[in-house]
Order: sequence, then C-alpha cells, then structure tokens
Amino acid sequence: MIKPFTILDVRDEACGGKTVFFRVRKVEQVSDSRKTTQTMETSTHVEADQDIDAHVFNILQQSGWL
Amino acid sequence: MTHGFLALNNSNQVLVSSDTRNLHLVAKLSAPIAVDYSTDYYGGIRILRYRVACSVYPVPFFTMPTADFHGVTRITSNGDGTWDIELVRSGSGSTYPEVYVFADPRAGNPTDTHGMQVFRDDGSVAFDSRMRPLAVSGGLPVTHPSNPRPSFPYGLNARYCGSDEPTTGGFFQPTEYNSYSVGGQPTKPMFFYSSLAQAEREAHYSDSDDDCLGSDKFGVCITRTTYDWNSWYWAFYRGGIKWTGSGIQAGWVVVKFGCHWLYEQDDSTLGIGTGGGSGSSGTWPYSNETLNLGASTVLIGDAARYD
Repeated sequence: MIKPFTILDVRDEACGGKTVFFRVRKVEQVSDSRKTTQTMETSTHVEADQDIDAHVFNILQQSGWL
Repeated sequence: MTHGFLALNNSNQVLVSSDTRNLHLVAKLSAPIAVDYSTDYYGGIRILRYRVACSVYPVPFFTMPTADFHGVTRITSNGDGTWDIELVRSGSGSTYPEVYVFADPRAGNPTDTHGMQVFRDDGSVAFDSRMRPLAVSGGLPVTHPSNPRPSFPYGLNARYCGSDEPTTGGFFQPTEYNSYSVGGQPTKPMFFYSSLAQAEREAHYSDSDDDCLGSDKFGVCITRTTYDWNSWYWAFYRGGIKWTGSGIQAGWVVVKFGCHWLYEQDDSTLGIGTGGGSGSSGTWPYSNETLNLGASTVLIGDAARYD
C-alpha cells in the first residue's frame, strides 16, 4: 500500500513516546483546466506502544484529510 | 568550619551559618506595575511586570491566587537600584499574584536596636533577625511534558495567514502537564520557580492552484498560471506551575505566537515563463523544538508570615 502521507522526522521524547513530523497532500481536479493542491506539515505525539503509521493514518482520516 | 556560627535543625540541615547568607524579606509587591501583554486566546496569556528596589540580586516568591500556570521568566536590573521581575500567567482573569521579594541581608536597612546578627569572615552580614528571614516549608523538583499539546492543528488557512486568533489559539493551547502531590503546606503558600523549559510548535499549510488558461487544438495546455500560498503558524511556550491546593502541576504557557505567509505566482507559455509576482510578510517562526526539560526546583514558603 502506498502511504498517503510522508513521515519527515521522528523524535524520541523523554517520556518514552515520540513526536512525529509528517506531511500530507491532497490534490483535486476542480475542472478540466484547473487543479488544486493542499499540503499540511505538522506534528503529533505517538505513545511508545503505538504504531506510527497507523496513528498518523487514523488522525488524518478523522480530520478529513484522507 | 573552625570558627564562626552554625545553627542546625533536627534533620542536621543548616539554618544559619556564618559561611553563607540567609535570604531576608525586602518587599512585598501586591500588584504588577504593568501588564505588558494580555490575550484570552491560546489558553490565556498575561505577561506581568513587577518592580522592586533592591541593592543586590532579588529572589522572588509568588502566590498563585488562581488555578492558572505561572512562572518567573526574567529578572533584569534597570541600572538605578531597581529590578524588573517578569512573571507569566495563563488564563483570562485579572487577579494577579502577590510577589514577595527576598535577598541576602546586604539589601536591608533595619533600624531596630535589638536582635541577633551573624557575620561572615569578610565582615558582611550573613543573618539578621531584625529583617524577617525566609523560612522554606517545602520543595520539590518538577519536570514538564515534552509536548505542550499532543494533537496537531489541522484545517488552518494557507492563504495570507488567514486563520484568526480564536481559531489558531484553540489549536495551539497547551493541555499537557505533570502532577505532583505536596502535602502539609500553609494556607497561603508562596512559590519560587524560575521558568527554564521552552518549546516551539508550528504547522505549515500550503495551497496551490494550477490554471490552464489556453490549450491548443490537441488539448495540450500552452498557457498556464500557477498560484502558491504558504502559511506557517507557530507558538512559543515557557514552562509554568499551577497550585491545585494539594499539589503542583508542571505545564506550559504560551508567551508568543504568530504566523508567516508567502505568496508566489508563476506564468508560462509553452513552458516559457512570461511573468509572475510574489509577496511575503509576517514573523518568521522558530522550528519544532523543546529545550531545557531537565528538572526545575520549586520552593514553597508561607506568605502569611510576611504580610
């Protein structure tokens, strides 16, 4: 499966979790002649026992980016 | 120590010694002289400035009359015998801490003729019973969470930093803290806490429109304009503590926030550029970092002793 987002950086935190920096992009063909692209780069906290990809996918889906 | 004075308590801790200087009350500051910044967004921000006349470096203790996060972020000399103490507070109310300023006895000018003084070997005063010495009733090390907020901001406007403060403030408002139980404290506690922990968080949004303005008879786009909008929203945090009545929470306070935007337009015909323009404005952000997360010391005393 091709991930619809890109992990830019993962930082280990003192509490054991991770701060994950990622980018997501959404492209929409508005008409035959016009295309729009929206991009977001931000971060989220992932607990030590969580899967990073699954966590990022879930929050992007919940927020309407995917 | 072979000469001098030494007083210990039952736990063998030093109370008074001719080798050190005790802190004594210099002044009680009932209100800030200025509120240098105020907003109710981003969890509420109040940057308060207190001023004290003191001939040596002041050590401020503050009360926490509201359930907000507080921290001393700066102490600066004005060069004229006065010092400005900057204290940040979260929350939206106008009830501000009282600040009790302590310093070593060189800062004092007592006039009573009776009492006890202890001198250091250089002849300066180490302790003076006429000057209301500081008594510490408790203390603990605190650490702050590595993230002021676990969730990320989404859906902010990429064009010209177009999202307003109520919107961005909600996304950057700090929510995380560590909790510590502290028992047996006075009814009116005062706290010494210098804010060291710092954090910056930002989010970058971009919109791009690719418009084909003219095509040839084969449908190949020959004239195209591309518009790019970029906005970087950011917030800068300092560590703060909150008194819950039975314990301390170590969390975060937003002290600065802003946004930087960039706009670019590019025109091309048959792949050849024919013109364009761009604009840029706003403040440049820091980059996602958390600094000075080591333990900070909180000292607790009884403010009622010094009223």
